[in-house]
Amino acid sequence: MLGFVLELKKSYQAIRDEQPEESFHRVYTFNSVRKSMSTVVAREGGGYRVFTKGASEMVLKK
Amino acid sequence: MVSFHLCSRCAFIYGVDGKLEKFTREHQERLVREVIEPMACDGLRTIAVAYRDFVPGKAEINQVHYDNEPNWDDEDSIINNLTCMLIVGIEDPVRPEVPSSLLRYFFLNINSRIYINCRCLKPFGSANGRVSQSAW
Repeated sequence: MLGFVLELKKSYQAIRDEQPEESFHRVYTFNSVRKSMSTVVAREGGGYRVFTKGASEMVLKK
Repeated sequence: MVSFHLCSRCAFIYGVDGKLEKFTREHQERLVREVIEPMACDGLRTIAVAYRDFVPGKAEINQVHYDNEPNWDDEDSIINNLTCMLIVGIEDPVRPEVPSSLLRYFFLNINSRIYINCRCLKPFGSANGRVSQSAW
């Protein structure tokens, strides 16, 4: 995924500086049952955005 | 692989031209059949990335409005009705130490099996732990 960011001619560090780990509202760490991990960040203008990344069968299946 | 997608953590998906669509069960099954299974059969691990917005104001169809702070401890409810952004296939070969470990177990009379989460995968003879599309 980091390679993909570079491929898009974006800088990981710039994104990370803008959104440092200390600013995360909540982190759901990876575990082998869920096979996914999620991070909650504050949205500009209020509210939150949850990002989830994981094995496709876990994100697509409940 | 077989029991994929009876219902879903993703309720929406960005389709053609980035258009937001409802992610129906039929749509999910088609995605698995036409995208995920072919990638899996080429030995790729498929990863999905999705998101969900919680907004204090007016919520779009794939967003959630809240008056009180969402209960972040209720992970099952939070990580649900997501919007799928992308699915990627990545190479994820057997780690180099695995073959020698299996050999050691063999000599210790311990039976080992490698289970692959796809009925159509078979270890590939030559290259670095990759698998190929081939019926058992």
